[in-house]
Amino acid sequence: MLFNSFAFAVFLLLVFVLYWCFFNQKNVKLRNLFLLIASYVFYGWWDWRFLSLIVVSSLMDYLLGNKIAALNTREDAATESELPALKRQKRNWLLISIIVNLGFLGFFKYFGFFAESLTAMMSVFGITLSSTTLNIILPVGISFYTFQTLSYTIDLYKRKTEQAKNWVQFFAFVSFFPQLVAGPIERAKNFLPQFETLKKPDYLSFRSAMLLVAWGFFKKIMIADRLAVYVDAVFRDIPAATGLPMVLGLVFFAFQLYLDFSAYSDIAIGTARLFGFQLRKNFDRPYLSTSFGNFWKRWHISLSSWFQDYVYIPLGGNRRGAWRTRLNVLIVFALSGLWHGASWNFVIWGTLNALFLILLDPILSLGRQKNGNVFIHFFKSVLIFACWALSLAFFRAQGFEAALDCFRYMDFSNVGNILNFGLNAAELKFSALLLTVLLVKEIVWERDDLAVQQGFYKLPAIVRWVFYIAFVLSIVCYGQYGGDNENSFIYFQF
Amino acid sequence: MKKQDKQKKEVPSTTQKSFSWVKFALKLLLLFTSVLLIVLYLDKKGYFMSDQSNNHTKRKWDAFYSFTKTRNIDVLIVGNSHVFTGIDPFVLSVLTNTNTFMLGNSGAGIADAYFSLGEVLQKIKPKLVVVETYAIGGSDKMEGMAEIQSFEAHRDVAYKLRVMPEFFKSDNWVKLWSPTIRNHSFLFKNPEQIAFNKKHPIKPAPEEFYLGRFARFGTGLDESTLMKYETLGAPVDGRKYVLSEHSKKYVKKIVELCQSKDVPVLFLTVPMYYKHIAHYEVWKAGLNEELQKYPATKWLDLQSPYDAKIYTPEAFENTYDANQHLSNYGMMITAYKIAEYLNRQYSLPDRSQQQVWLTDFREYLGYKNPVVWQ
Repeated sequence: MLFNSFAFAVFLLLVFVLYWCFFNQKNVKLRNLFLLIASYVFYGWWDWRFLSLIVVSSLMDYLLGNKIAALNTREDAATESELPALKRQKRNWLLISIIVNLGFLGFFKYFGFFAESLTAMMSVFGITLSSTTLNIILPVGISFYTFQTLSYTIDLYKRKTEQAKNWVQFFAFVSFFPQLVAGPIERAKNFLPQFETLKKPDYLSFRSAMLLVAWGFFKKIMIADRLAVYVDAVFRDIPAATGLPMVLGLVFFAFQLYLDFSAYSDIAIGTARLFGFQLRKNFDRPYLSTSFGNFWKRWHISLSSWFQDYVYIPLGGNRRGAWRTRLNVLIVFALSGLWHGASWNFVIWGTLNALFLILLDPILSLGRQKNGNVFIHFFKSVLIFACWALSLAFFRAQGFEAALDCFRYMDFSNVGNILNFGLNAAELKFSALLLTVLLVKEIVWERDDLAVQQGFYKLPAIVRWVFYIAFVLSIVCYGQYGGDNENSFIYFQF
Repeated sequence: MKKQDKQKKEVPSTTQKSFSWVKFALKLLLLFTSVLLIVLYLDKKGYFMSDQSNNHTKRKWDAFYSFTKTRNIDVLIVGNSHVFTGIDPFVLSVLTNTNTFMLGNSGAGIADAYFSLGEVLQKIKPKLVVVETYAIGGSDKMEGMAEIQSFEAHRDVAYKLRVMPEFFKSDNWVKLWSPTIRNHSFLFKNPEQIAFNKKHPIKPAPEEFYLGRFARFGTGLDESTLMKYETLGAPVDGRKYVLSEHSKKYVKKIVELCQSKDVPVLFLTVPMYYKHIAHYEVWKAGLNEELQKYPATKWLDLQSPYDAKIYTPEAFENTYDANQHLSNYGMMITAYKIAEYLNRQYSLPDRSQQQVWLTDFREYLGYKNPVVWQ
C-alpha cells in the first residue's frame, strides 16, 4: 500500500494503537512478531506472491548468518592451524549468501535486460539468438531488502555485527514496513539491536516523527507531484518541448526526484520513530553541495554508503593509486546505475556521474575558500545541480535516443511555450514559491546549530498550533492529488 | 558546529515529564478536528462546488426525492445518456397513464444503475424497472465524474456509507463526501468557479416537477452527416462489441435485486440510426446470450427490428461520432414505441382518472390524441 493512501492511514492507525496498547508491553519476541505480521500485511497488500520471496530470502540469510556466526565463535577458540579452514568455510557461506541474494535480484530484475543485451550483442556478430520472453513481475522493494540482508551476512563475516537473537528478530529487521519498499537501507549493526528492547513512548519523539511525516507529505503532495505534471508532459512528447520547456522539464525532474524520494524517506523515518525505532538519515540537502563527492555523501546516503563499504572499499578504494581509484569509482557508479534499473540508460547515468566526480571535483576544489564565500558556494552548487540535472535525462527518458533528444531539443528559446505542459502560469509561480520555501527550510531550519528549530518550539503553543493546522490545511487545499495520475513514489520502481 | 554537539542538542529531554497518552490523543484529535471543521465549513459554503447549472444528475435526484414524497413511481428507467436523452418521460407517462421517472445518468456505467436502484428500491416499489442496454458493455468504469456526481446527488447517507466500498476505491472515499477535497484544484485550474460560488451561495433545492427528462438535441441528421454514411460507412461496428465480466456481474445484481423486491425488469435498447451501426446482429447475439440467463425479464430492442418509418434521420442527433443519441423528436417517438409495448405487455396502474395525475400532466395530455402520432 502506498504511504499516500487511505488504506495506509487506516493500517498505520491500527498498528500504532495495537503496538502501544498491547504488543510493546511485556514480551520483545511477541512485539517483533506483531511487527513482522504487520509488515507482511503491508507488503502483501501489493501482491501476496511477493511474500514468498521475502520469506525465502530472510530464511536463507538467517540460516547462513547462523552458520557464519557459529564459525566466528569457533574461530575465537580455534588454534592457528584450524583458522584457515574455518575462514574458508566462512567465506564459502558468505559467497553462497551473496550469490543467492544477487541471483534473486538478477533474475527478477535483470533477466530481461541481460537476455536482450546478449541478443543485441550477438546480432552484431551476425549470430541470431531466439529471445526468451518471461513475464517476470518485479517484487516491490527487492533491491532494497536484498541489500539489507546482504549487509547482515557481510557484516557478520567481518564481525562488525552480532548475530540475530532469533528468527523473529531477523525477519522483522528485514521486513520492517516503514523502510521495506524504498529504504533507507539499514545496517544490521545499527538496526538489528533496536529489535532487542521494548520501547517507551516519548512525546518529543512522536512530535518530531509527525512533523517529519507531515513535511514528507508536503514535499511529495505539494511539490513533487505538481512538478511531475510538467515533467510527464515534457517527456511524453520531447520534440514538442523544444527550447526552455525542455530545460525546465529537466530542472523540475531534478527537484521532483529529490523531493519524491526524500519525502518517502522522511515518511519512513517518521513512521519508524512512531514505533520507537531510529532509521538513518537518507538525504542531507544534496543540492547545497559544493563538490560531487560531497553530493554523493548527501544523496541517498544509505545506498551510497552501502556501495562504498561493500564494493568500493573491497575493490581497493583510493588505496591503490589514482588510476585504480578512478576505475573503482567508475565501476561503483556504473553498478549503482544498474541497481536503479535494468537499462543501459541507468548505467550511462551512473557513469556520467562518475565522470563528473573524477573530472570536475579536482577543479571545484581549486582555490578553496576557508571562510566559505557565499557566491562561490552558490556557483558551485548551481554547477553541480546543472550537471546532475543533465545526467537525469538518461534517468528519466524512455530509451537512449529519447535521452539524446533531450539534449537535441534543449535551449533557451520558446519561452512562451512553457505554459503548454500541464501547469498554468499561476501553478508555475506557485511551484517556484514552493521551491523557495524548500530552499529556505533547508538553509534556515536545518542549519547546524538548530537555532531556528529551537526558537520555533519556544513560541507560544497557540502560534505553533496555528502553524500546524495551516500546514496540514495547505496540503489538503493546495496538494496535487485526486487526478487521474497514479501518485506512486518514483523509487518504488527500483 | 560538530556533529556530536548537534546530536547532543537533538536528544529530547523527557526525564522531567512522563508521557500521557490521553494528552497525546487529545492533541491529535484537536489537529484532525480543526482541519476537518475548516473543510466542512468550506463544503457548507459551497466554495468548491463544481458548476451546478448543468448538473442534471443532482436536479434529477432532487426531483426524485421531491416527487416521491407525495407520489409513487410506476415505471422507473435507468441507464446512461442513451436513455437519458432517449425517452421523454412526460410523453411516456401520458401514453401509459402512469408516473414514469427517468433516472438515467449520462456517462455512467451499469454499476451506477445498480447503485441507484439499490437506494430507490429501499424507498419505493415501482411496477416496472426499465434498464437501458448501452450501459451494458465492455467497460469496467466505476469511478468517473458521472458516478461521483451520482453519489453526491443521493441523499441516503446510511446507504451511501454501506455501498461506498463496493463502488469506489478507498483512496476516493474522502473526496466523495467533500467537494472541497474533490475540487481543491479549482484554486489554480478554475478560480472563476470559486469566485462565482462565493457570490452565489448554495440554496435549498427547489421543489420541481421534473421527471428527469433531458432534451438536448434539437435537430436531426443533416445531409453532410448522411453523406458520411455513404462514403465512410458506419462508424460503429457491432462485431467489436464486448461484454465485460463487470457488466455481467451488475446485470445479474440488478435482476436479483429487482426479483427480491418483486419488481419486473425490462431491458431496453434505444436505437441509433440504422446506417450508424454495422453488424448489429453480432452485438445483439452477444447481448442476447447474456440476457437469456434471466428468462423472467423481457427485452425491447428498438434497434432491431428497426422501424424505418418512424426512425427517420430527424430522430437522431446530428453526429457521426460513435456515441449517437436521439433528438428531441426521437425522444418523443421512442416514448410512443415504448408506451405501445408497455400497454401490451404489462398491467400498469391506470392513473388517468386521478386528479393529481391529471393536474401533473395537463400540458401533455394532448399527446394522447392519435392524430399526433400519424
